[in-house]
Amino acid sequence: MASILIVDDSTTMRQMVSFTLSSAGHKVLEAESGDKAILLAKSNTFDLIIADVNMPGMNGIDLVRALRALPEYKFTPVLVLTTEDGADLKQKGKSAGATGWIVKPFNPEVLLSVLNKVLS
Amino acid sequence: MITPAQKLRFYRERMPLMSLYLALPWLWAALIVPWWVSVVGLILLPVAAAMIVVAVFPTPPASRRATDDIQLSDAQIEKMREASSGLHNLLERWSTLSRSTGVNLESARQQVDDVILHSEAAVLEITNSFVGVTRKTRTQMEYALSLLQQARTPGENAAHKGDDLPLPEYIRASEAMLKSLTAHLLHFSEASLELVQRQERVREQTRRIDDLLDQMTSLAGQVGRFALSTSAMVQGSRRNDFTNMADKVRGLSQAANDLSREVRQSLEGIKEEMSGAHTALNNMAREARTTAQEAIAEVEPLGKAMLAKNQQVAEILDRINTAGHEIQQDINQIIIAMQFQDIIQQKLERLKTPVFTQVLDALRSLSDETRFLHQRINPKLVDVSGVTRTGPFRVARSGAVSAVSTPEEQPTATEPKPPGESGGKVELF
Repeated sequence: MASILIVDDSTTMRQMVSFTLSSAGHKVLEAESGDKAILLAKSNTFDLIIADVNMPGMNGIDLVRALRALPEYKFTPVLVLTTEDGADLKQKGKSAGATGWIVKPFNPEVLLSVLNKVLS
Repeated sequence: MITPAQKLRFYRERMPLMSLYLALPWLWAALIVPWWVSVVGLILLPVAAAMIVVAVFPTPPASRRATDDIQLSDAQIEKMREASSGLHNLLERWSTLSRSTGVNLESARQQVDDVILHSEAAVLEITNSFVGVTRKTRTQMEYALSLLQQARTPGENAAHKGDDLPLPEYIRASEAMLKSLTAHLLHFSEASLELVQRQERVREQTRRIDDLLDQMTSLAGQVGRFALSTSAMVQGSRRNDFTNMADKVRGLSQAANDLSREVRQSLEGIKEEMSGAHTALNNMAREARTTAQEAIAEVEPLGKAMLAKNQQVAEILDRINTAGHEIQQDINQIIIAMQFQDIIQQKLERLKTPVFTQVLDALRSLSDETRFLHQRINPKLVDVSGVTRTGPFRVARSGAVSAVSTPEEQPTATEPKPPGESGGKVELF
């Protein structure tokens, strides 16, 4: 069982991801913005972070960059879950330190499979 | 009633052409008649044309007469010309803005149509998945109920004992069989105890025989010694001693006889005990064989039936498991459809703000242009906003001046993609 943080401005999306991960037995916390995610990340320890890209305020790429700047999250897997599929944006995410890129809508089985892979 | 002058003014555009037609017959005569005749004829041509218009042409309709009879001063006509020029520019701008706004609205309409279509598809997908989940859950429940039913009541094809019994019956049958076996084992145990007692008695008899044989050996020794004494007595001719010896021999003979009788009795007892033990052993073996045969006869069908029941239970559990797996798949589909719904909503949000802002800006610009033109035509009209709008192509409410973007520059939302087209793509760095 892993501790996972979901960052997405869409409540529906957060609920879907949370439902999928909770059903698999993981402990899940949610944040609706990058700023709140950073606060949660500082006050908790997460094994994995899943973040959207298009969010009001701090976007997903900036969030990944900010997380990598924290010593305790230097090597924590960070997956980007977004509708964006552009190569440039993916490259930006990779440069910022993202571990993987998942395009919405996600298949719960695929998400769990990827999650197990990056956690192992 | 229309006057001849009004009628002439109405048809004035046709007068030159009519004069030309009337001059045609004079062309051939111009070469042969004196020149002044030709000049008089040309002068009279407009007069003839005017007379034809007044006398022959139909009276124009009233509406045309009304618009044709406007009496305007030169200043008014000049002002109208200026206004007309401004109106022309305004109409051009209206046309451009209307076209771009129309494109925007058309794009928005298409996006909204797409959203509606995809939303309907998503809702349909969710509904179907929910129906599927409900149906499969009901199937799962039916399987579980059938499992319970099988555990409670015998099946319809329970022709023989143990063929298709409910699980409690199997348990009861097993318990009864176990009790029967236990009873038989107790019986065997009691019989074994009896055999042990018989053997103990045989051992007692044997020990007694041993004692008797010892006594008989002792008697034999005594007899031997008496025989030696008798021989010595015979040589010494001691009569009294001989008589005493004969009495003792008689006593020994009697004792040997008694001992022989006792040995025979003991042997008889042993024979009886052995016979009883043999009989008991035979009975035990027969009962054991019967019990074993009965147990086999009961256990074999019971075991088979229990295996079959176990197989049925395993199959039902497998079906329940399969239904559970299908339910999970349906739930996954619901999750995907709900995500798709959410993605569409986000894309629509991204489209809505720029498109409607631009449409509002365009309409505001048209309003400003119209007010400006109206003020030019009628300077007495005062702008209620108090702000003078002077002619840039677009004047925003904030006062900022900007150009209207072309239809190619209009913002468009990304076409929503159906689930599975690009969604779910995973890339690990």
